[in-house]
Amino acid sequence: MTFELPFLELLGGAVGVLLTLLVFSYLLGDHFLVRLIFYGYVGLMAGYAVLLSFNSVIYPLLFQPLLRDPVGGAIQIAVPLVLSGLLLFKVSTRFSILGNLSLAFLVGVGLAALIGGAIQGTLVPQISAVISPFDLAQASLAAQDRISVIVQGFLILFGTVVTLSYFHYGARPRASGPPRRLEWIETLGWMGQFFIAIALGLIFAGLLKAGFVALVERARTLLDFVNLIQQGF
Amino acid sequence: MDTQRCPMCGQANPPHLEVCQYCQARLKPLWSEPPEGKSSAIEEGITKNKAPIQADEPLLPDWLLSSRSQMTEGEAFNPEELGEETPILPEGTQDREDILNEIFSGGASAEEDVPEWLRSLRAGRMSDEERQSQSDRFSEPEEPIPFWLDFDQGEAKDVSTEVSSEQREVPPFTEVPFEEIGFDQEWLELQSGAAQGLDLRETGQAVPPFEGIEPFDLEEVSTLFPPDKYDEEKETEIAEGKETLTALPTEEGDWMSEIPPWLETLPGQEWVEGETVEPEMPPEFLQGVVPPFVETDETLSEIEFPAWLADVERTIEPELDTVIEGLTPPTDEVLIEEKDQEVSRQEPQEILPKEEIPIEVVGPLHGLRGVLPAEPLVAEQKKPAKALSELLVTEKQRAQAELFLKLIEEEGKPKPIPPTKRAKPHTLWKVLIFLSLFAAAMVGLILRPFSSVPQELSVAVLDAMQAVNQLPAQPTILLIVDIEGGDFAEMQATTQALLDQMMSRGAFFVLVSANQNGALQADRLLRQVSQVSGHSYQPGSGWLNLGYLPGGVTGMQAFAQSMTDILPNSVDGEAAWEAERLQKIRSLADFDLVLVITEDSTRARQWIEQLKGGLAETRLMFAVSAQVEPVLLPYYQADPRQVQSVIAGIRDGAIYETQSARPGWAMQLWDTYTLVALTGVVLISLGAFIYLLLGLLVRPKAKVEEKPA
Amino acid sequence: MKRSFLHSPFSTFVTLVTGLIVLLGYFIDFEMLRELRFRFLQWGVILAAVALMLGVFNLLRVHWSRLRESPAKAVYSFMFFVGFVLSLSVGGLLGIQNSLNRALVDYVIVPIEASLFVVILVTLIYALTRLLQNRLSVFNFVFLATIILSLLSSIPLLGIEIPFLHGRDSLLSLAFRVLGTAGVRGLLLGVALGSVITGIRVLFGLDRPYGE
Repeated sequence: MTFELPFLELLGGAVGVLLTLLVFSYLLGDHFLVRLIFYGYVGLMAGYAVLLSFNSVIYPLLFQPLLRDPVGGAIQIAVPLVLSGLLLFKVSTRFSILGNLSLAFLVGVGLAALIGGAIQGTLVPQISAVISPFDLAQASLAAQDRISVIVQGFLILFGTVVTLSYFHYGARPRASGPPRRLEWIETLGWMGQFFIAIALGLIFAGLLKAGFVALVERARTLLDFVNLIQQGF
Repeated sequence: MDTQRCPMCGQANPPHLEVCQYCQARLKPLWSEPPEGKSSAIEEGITKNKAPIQADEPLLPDWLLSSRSQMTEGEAFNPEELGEETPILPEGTQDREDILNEIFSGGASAEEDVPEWLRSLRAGRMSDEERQSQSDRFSEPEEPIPFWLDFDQGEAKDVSTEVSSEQREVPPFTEVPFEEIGFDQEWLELQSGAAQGLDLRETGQAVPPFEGIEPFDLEEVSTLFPPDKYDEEKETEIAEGKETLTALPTEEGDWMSEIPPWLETLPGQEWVEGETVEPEMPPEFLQGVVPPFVETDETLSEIEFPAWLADVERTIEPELDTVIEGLTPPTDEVLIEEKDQEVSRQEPQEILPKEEIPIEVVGPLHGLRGVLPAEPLVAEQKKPAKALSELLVTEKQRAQAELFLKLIEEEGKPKPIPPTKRAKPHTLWKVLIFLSLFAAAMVGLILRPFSSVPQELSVAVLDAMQAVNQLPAQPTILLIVDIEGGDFAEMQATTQALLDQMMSRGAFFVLVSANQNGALQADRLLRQVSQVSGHSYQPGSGWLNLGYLPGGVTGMQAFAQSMTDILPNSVDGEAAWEAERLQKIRSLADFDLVLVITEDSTRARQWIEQLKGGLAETRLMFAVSAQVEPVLLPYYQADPRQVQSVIAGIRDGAIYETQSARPGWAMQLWDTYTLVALTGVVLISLGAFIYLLLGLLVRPKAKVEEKPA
Repeated sequence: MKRSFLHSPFSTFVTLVTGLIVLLGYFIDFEMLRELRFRFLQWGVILAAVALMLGVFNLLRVHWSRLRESPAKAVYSFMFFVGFVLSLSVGGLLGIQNSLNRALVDYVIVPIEASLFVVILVTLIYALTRLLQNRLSVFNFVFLATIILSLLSSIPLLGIEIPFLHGRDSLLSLAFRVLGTAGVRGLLLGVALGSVITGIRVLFGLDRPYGE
């Protein structure tokens, strides 16, 4: 089943422009129509979530083996089926405790994946990356480049250390007053805030850049629709 | 007594002098002498230990004011008038005992304060039997009266009957608070002996110098005997028709001047015995330390106490604190409990109508008159019984209590936030920002081209171009697309040239997404790129969409380990890995390139972590939003690199298009984007400057307003 | 309900065992361990999909009850059901890659999301302009200056490129690259360390996000 583009493009363009303008009107304040749009959007995404989950995972991994080979498939899917069944009890307030087993399993697997990835994918390589500029065995670099690399490496090492110091929450109890961090850690943490401010500033600027592009795209869509109308009439 | 001592320097002066011949301090007060029989020592004691009471002292409850006023009104003690018969007592003790004397006796002033209802009660309400029963009940040891009133009945009666209006000396009151406190055994034995009927008056011994027992200052003493209890006794006696208030015992000086035998054995007594203490002289141990009645920061107990007294003091201090806590003004709860027992005891002295009610000057009750007396009533937050309230409180106090209650209720109620006037300008400012940006975008779209394309050579772009150029013909590329619709324009601008170059090489794409929306956007991205670049890519022949991979890092790791088992089907339900172009693909390493397209920095990090080890770093590329670039740079700049290349944002996309000489979506938006971004910078700079100025202008004002508050 | 074996000790045990197997399989190349690890991961993916559907089911239940019980909000819930049925029917019956479904994405989902992003952009700019008014500190100033300079360095100023600002080898670019990388690297290490520590705490039952 297909739809002809001109009609669909015109109708779709009108809907898109209308939705765009209504969402923009949210800047003036919340109102009935915007809420309607948001609720409808949430409904759309919920429908897609069900559809995609079922098509991509649940059907091929839970039902397809059973359809293909009822006995072998049943054995294959027994455990996930039981775990999924137990998870369904989470809907009930009375029997929700039965779902704890499934959740415990999910949490265990997820955390192991998180820990493994963090160690192997970030901790080890990044610590290595902090150290590597000071590796004098890099003979391939010219002397001038090596100095530049070492200076940059030192700045990055310093910045990394002071940024991490900012997140050091260990404090010593004091006889008078609340526990406080060691003074030299406080100082390092204070310097670390400069690096954090720069890093977050760069991320924030990137967010604004993405927003500017979105705005330009919306403006262009509106303009294109106007052109389309002008051409049509 | 033919000399008078200077209150400042302590030197003896002739009695006719008004000014001390040594220090020029005034020896005689300027004000008129108080009535006969009243002890000025009370006033001296008060002024010595605490600030003088003012009639309009705002922060004191009325019951305390009344008790103080009773004490100060009776300041009539003139040592000179007492002559030689003045009991030999140290000055401090004299002060205290005068107060107690006054408390335990019922002075004329107290009689004047008796309200109408009490007069009527006296007149005829109470029958003889009732009076008797009241008297009995009051003296019953089982009755739960505070222990400070629970001293020996005989003693109490003796005291009340023996004191006179002229010389209201009190028997050693220290027996009272010391009851039930851990004294040593000897003391307890002595005390029990006293309780068994030892009458101080009958012993004929001199009053022991209790000046040593100084832990109480006058304020504490006054709270030890709250006026209501004192009034209860007084009223009881009045009701019984006793004439003891006016009957003056003649032997009073005798018993006061003698030490009872049970006190002779007190530890620490040795140093007192055998010494003659002159009238109005401080005890010997204090001589040379402080002059009599001289104000000093040091309390008597700090100066020089015998060790045993210090022990006693330490012992009784905790108990004393408890006692003082229990000596708060009588609550109506107590009165309510006893309301059926006796009416006269229900009437606390402090609720008598007063014309001079202090006005609150601080706190939330500022401006209210006399709210503190109503505190017990109000704090309970319950309405007392009608009859009881009528009996206990005046109309004025009830009005105050109601006002107080209303205040408390109002405090608890949520108040609607008045619409701020600021909301509108801020909304206008937001709309102005939007309109400015939108206008810039429209101008840019209509008037372009006017900007210059970025001419620089980006290392990341070059790395990406190099990686794509090294791809074999008809490569199979895994596209991990984790984007939302909001970032779609930017991601298309970033990846347009890259994907176009791949399509030009006949690449086949496998799409997967770790968010639901990404599965939809991946399909759209390839469609748009294909359309803009003039390719005819279609699902099936050009790409295969695996759809959504749930589970976050779990799904990513499972996919990295065995993608064919985790996502066996395409998003449309077809067997994915049986497609012709995917026959040889069974793991990540089989792909010619893996390109992650995302606008989420967390997703980007997670993909790097989970794909680590699954494929060579040279085959992993990232095309991300500008906001993700700072997060990925540490991975890209690491040595060795964890990713082959990172191209980020519309700028890198435009550079890629420029370098590959294939203008695309990024270049179509670039001019307008630069104008909008410049407008954004101007708005941010201008707005921040204006608001900063406003803040700097408002802040000092706010500080000035806060200071008086 | 009577305290059952599903209470925390058993749940903690399940978390610990599954977590350790997956973790060991990640670092140790042993065939059986690798296979077991993959099975656990696969079951985890299935459970995640089921949990997602369960969440949607709960959402439907809430909106259904609002539709029946709250007339004032019924119209919103009705709109939710319209969207839900629309995507499910169009995507499910016609397919995700059908032109009608694509039109739904192109003309409904993308415009809404893109417009919302623009609204967020305006709000962010508004918040930035008030940043120094709300709190005047050196770090806020550095933050704001970084944003402005980063934006300026990414665009030619009406066709003019300033050496200090523009270009990959400019001083500003170098400063941002070095200082930004240092800061982000510190943040990444902090996040990774936090993830590991939190994960270990949960694995060993010190924290129980899955319930008691």
